[in-house]
Amino acid sequence: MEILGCFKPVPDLELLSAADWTADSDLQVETAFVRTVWNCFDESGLELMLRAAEDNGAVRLQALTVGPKRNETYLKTLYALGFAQAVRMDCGEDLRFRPAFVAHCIRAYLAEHPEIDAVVLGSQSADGSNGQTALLLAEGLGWPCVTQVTAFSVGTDGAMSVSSMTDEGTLTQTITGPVVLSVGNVSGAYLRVPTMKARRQLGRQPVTVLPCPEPPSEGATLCALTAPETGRAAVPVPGDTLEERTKLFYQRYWKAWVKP
Amino acid sequence: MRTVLVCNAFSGEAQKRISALTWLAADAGLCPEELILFAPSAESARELRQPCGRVRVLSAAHFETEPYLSALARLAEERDKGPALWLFDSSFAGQELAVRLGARIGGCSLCGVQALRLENGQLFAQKMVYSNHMLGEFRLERSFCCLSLTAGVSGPPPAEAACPTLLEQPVRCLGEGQLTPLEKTDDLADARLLIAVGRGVGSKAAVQEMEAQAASIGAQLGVSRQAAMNAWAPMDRLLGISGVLAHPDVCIAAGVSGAAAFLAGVDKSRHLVAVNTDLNAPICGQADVVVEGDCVAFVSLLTDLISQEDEHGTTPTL
Repeated sequence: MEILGCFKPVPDLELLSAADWTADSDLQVETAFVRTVWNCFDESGLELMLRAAEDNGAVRLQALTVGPKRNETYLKTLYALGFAQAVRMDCGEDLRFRPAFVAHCIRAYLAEHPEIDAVVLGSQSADGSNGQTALLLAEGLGWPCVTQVTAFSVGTDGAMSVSSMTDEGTLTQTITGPVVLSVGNVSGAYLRVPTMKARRQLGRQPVTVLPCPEPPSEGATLCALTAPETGRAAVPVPGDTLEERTKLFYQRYWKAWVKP
Repeated sequence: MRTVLVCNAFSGEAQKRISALTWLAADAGLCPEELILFAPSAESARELRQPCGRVRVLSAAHFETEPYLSALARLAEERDKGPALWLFDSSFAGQELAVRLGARIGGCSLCGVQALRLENGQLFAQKMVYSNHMLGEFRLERSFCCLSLTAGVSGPPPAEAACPTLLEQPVRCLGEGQLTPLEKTDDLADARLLIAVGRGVGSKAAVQEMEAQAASIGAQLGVSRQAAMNAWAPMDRLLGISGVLAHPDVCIAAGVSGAAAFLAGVDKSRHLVAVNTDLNAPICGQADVVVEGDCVAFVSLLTDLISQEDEHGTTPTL
């Protein structure tokens, strides 16, 4: 079975200070000065893929990202973790709010790779927060889609057992045939770190670079970007020790706020 | 613009969701013509305050995505072809169906919407982006728009429409898969007192200790994404835009850096307290009150003070 994992490196937004959250006239937030990290939901998806492959040796993994050359370091890491194929669709454009374009790129890759049985994506990215790419991809392919996926495995018959969060509880279903999986919150699913030996032996494989297809139009266009007001006073509680500060907090605030 | 509301009534909170949908539409000057409800039966829908003159209940034993999506697509295809807005609630089902229906009908979609406005016939929608750090406004480019609400939108119960017409349309579901219902736990979203812990707490054992201390003062415990991803607490304790949105009287954010995605889960707190050793952490600029110090020690000291006063009825000393 072939599984394609799609991911996107994103700026580490936790490194931005309050003053950094402003948009310029092009509706861009400056993030070039911070490192990039795995988008957290994509990271969980890739880790779940590795676990599925560990459990079933017949599972072969591919990875795809749409973006600039600097994203290739992530693909090298996935080679070192045992992915069989790592692909970058070359694109230097702003993809933050273009889920239709990204879904179109993935479809174009799948059209050339009919051996792929399942596509795994994170539910949304840290910057765009669109929450649409996996769903648009499924509609474009005519494949079923399972959202808020928390776990999956591949049986010896090639059928996938998929667990997901729904509004009513946890759903576990068996899926035969192609499917798009959109990964949600998965506890303890940080992507493993390859060994240096694996990086040397496997991480040097060449990344396949492909052009992007012509972009379709997006259904929604960003026309304003602002930082919301917060409105809280942030009053520090004085005191030389934590004991003093705690007691003052209790006397001045807790007793006023919390009535028995 | 013809406006239709779509609400998933299978998982509870249907009235809240209908109220939120109605409020958002009214705030933009839109008057919904129809409410589409996913429910076990028309009977179960009669208990709800119906804001629209026409209510269509798509009924089935339980919700399944593909059959309901197909049913919605047929309804959308039958509509008049003029501009239309379908507003979906903030449930998982609503988020998914809005996007897939929009694509299937050749329209457009947007998830997590918190406000709308109509200007010269052009629809604009606002939503939080950059993990809740920035507010984006988007122009919707197609005449058929499917938007899902963000979980934080709420509104008063709608005025009930006079003599609403109730139609029931069964949906044939396949009964595939095995559903394990959500466990009935104390509802974090409705907690009056909340202690929210983050990576600064340091360990699963510390989180468990703080949960016991929280319980001793009648508070509930929620966690940030880092703590949940470390498996220090179950994922259903996760606070934030991809977890629970709480609105307690008092929230103590203990050892939480205050990423905007987390803050969305507690920013409706009446009083928000930040406890952190790092006064430059974002949470310290977002709270009402800031206490510098070790969060584990603070919670221990505070609960001791509260317990002493409860026992003796006198002002305790440390």
